[in-house]
Amino acid sequence: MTRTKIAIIALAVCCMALLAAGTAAYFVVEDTAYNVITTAALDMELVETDGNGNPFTDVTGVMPGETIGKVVTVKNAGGVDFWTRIKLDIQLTFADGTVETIDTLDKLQQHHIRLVGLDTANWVYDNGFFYYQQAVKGSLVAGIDGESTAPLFTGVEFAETMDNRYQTCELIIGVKAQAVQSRNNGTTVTEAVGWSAI
Amino acid sequence: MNKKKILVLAMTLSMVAILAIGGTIAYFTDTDIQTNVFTTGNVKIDLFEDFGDNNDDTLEKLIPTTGKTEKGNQINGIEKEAYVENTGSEDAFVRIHFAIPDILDSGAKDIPALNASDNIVHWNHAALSTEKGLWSWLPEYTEGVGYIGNGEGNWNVYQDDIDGITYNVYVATYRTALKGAVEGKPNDVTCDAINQVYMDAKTTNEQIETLKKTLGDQWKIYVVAEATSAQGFDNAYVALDTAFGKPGTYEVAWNATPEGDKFWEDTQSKNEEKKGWDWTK
Repeated sequence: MTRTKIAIIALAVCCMALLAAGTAAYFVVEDTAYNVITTAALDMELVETDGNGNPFTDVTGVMPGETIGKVVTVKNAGGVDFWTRIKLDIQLTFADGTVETIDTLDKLQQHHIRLVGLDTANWVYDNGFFYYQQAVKGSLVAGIDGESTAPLFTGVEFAETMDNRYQTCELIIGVKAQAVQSRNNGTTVTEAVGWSAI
Repeated sequence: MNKKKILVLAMTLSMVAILAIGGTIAYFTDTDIQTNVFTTGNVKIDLFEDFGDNNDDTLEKLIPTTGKTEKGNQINGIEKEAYVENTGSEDAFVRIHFAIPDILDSGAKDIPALNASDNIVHWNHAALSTEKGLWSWLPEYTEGVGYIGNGEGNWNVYQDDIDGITYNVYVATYRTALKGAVEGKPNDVTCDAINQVYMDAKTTNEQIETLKKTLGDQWKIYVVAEATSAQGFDNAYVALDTAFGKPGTYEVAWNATPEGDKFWEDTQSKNEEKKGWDWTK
């Protein structure tokens, strides 16, 4: 047997010995990495403007035939994609102090008031809420905003048919928006769970 | 198994145990609320009348005039000053309907006010009250003076039946919008639309008796004021006709006023019985 063969055999025997040991050592390379895992923030912002891009403020002296611009959208100001829904709380107070809660759009129209530009394609009404049909994406990049929804409506119309009964009336429109994470929470907004109590 | 492997496995088992035991899953959520208030304006006016010497019973003794005073008023005339005040929040155009029994006006002719000299009861306004921008008695809007004298077509006038009596109704329109009320400041008011009523000097006792058969002992003049928002209009006639309709084409709530002004009571006859009063003197 030649020396080379002897050497190879010996090396193979050594390797076999290593394999057979059971608690053998392996070539090990050690390194240490520190990974920081941060949960993103779900930050939803209800945005209301007057139709000219200015923040909406209360309006006085509204007369029949006027349409007041009021654009309602929901913005993702955080990094977590979410589903969103909106509830409207509408109340009409007459000059004599009578208060009427308006819980349907039909009732609103009976009082000669209409929500202009109501987007029932993107915002589907169900059981008291308008549900936005797409998840609103957030942004994890500093300085870049997340998505905004299409407006729920863009104005409030006071019809010309409003009679003297509606003088010095007060219409209060409360807009309540909710958001819940969309990730791991259904593939459609109707499947989403975890909405906060309102 | 080395210590590292054992540790990782233990941690994994622990985490699984915690999740399994908990049972409730939390989701990230957020809520935002905005509330907005819309307040409608109002159009509100007050009609003021200074009638006579403001007797509590609103009755005044009307006797034939005997001429003019130095100030130009009629002797024995009764002061009747009607003006409108805007007490609402919005700028408004206003007009008044002035209703006088037809048989007291133009001697009961079919077409009223053709010849005022035939009137039993006259009413007049201050000349300055019909200047530009103020009251106009004309049927159409004009920029200039709002009165051009008697004659067909010179009045905004129609007839109406009030409690069975035919009235000639003259409409005066205030051509400048009254500003809406501002807290802390006086409300905007018109000048007087009319300022006096008086009985014609030629009226006789016999005419009085004849008139009483139709009108009774108390003769009434009605004044009704109307207002509408000036928003979107720069012409009072258009604004008011749009809101109410052209005068004479709709019902006026005459009886919403406090029974009209009772401006004459037959106290003269009573006095005549007592004193033998002669109306022709």
